[in-house]
Amino acid sequence: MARPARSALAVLGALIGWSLFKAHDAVDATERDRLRVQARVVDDNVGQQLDGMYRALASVRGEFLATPVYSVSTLLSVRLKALSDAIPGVRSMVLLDADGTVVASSVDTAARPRLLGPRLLPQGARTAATRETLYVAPPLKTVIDSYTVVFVRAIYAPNGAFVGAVAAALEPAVLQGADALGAVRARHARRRSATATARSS
Amino acid sequence: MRVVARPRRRQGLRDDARRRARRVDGEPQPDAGRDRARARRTRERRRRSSIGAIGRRRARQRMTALGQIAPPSLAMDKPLVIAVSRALPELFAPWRKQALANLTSSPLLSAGAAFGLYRGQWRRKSYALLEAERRRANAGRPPSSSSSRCEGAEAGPVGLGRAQRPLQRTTRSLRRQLGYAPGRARRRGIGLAQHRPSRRCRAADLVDRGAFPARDRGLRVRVPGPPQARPVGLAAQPRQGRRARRLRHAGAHDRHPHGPDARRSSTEAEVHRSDRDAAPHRRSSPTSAAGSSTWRRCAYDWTEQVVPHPRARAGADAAPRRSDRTTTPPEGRPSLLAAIEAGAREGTPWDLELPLVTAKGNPRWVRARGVRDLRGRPAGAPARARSRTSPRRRPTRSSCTG
Repeated sequence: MARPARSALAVLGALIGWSLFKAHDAVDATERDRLRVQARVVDDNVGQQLDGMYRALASVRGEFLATPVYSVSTLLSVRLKALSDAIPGVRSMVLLDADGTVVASSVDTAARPRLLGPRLLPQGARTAATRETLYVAPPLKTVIDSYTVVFVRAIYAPNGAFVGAVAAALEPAVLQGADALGAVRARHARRRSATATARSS
Repeated sequence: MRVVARPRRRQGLRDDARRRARRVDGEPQPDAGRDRARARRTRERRRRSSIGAIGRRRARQRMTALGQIAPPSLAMDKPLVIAVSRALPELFAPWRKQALANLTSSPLLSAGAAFGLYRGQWRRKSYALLEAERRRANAGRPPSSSSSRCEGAEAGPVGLGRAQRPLQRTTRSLRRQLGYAPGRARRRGIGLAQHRPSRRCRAADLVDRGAFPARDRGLRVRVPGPPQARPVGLAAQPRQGRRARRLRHAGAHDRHPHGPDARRSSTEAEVHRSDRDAAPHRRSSPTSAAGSSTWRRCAYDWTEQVVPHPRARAGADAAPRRSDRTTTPPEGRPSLLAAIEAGAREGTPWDLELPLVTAKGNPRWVRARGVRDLRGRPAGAPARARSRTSPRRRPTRSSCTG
């Protein structure tokens, strides 16, 4: 093949390759931007739900402290059911005593497990320095084969003793619905927090 | 918030959650070792099939946008990480389609463009070769007219001239160079656009002007002939008819005597710009005249369309006259007619030598041969004329369809 023809072919190939490379870059940038926007939308949405859930857990904690022990199960179960129905994105709410026994729950009494403490009560809840901490449990696979994230607030007596905890589980459809949220991975956060702890220490 | 492309490990996440739940609940884990060994075997198998592993790795790759939710008002112990991800193959599927389309269409278009350019260059070279050959052939001849833009217009007498013989010898190669494949030329005639550029400009000028001076009466153009024909010099005579813009070209071509078109008249190669009012006898006359050599079907008579070139008869009037006709002397006419009749009746060929007087008054000896076609009928009388007055001149061919 003649030299000009080879040069022309080389130039043509370079042009095609360059245009494809630029198109690939453009697609990559567009998709990154789209994913970033989606993540921001999910951030805003889940943040509002977390805020509402945090306030609901605070109110339940106050009512638990004010309610007599013999009527906690009946009164607070109704209360928890009303709250879980009212707050979007909350699937269920449970109230645990210091041993982890379910005292009140928004779900049916027959279906709820009796002992959830070891799974739901966070490790540092009993010795928490701050009482307002919202604990985020690792993702759990529920009995209906779906992941959920449980948020727990510890309940302390006026004398500072740990008397229980109130927990709320997010609706799995919220986490995976609308293709906006692929997964909520507390594992990343745990790894990140562990790395940060190691650096700080 | 940051976006990363990383493999998704959903199964690993599920296994981690299950293992963690077991560990926290304090359940016994009898299958932990077996699961670990099975996972190791699976990993080894995947590593061995490298291609499959690459494909799986590429299929598992995802573009993930990570976000953290940790509002200060909530006092969360750890941030909630949000991951929005999409698979890379799914993301770049439109790009792959576009790339495939580009990679297929661009080379095709480029190849077409390159072929067009190459073809154009090749034709230009062919024209240059043709022009150079014509100039070499005309090198020994005095220039006919210095003011003429189309030198070939006044090249010589009607018929095969000296200047055209090299062209005739090389017509096949020239035709190939010009890009005319056999059979491409129209059978009904050849338009002006297919004439050589030098002739075409002259002819176009004549057409535009609508008047044809005497010196332009004998245009000589070279055009590719019909199928099975060797294109030779075409004697073309523009005439102004009743209507103002009328141009008529009487063409001649030398066809292969045994070809499928051997019996077809040369009038098929004539180019008529406006042929509606042409006399019918011009095309159907069985014995029309030819010039010095090449007119088929008109070997012994002139048609009204063909006149001698004015340069051959300086100062003569342009209109054809009866005295211009090439005539067969009376002493040779009976033998020729008898031979033709015998050939037509019995299908026998003949070979005669006849005296001939051309329109210019030059005596010629014509060797006429009756040729049979494949079906045994006489197909024509190709003749070869030899000049008594100029014996060194190469004999020119003549043919006559019977």
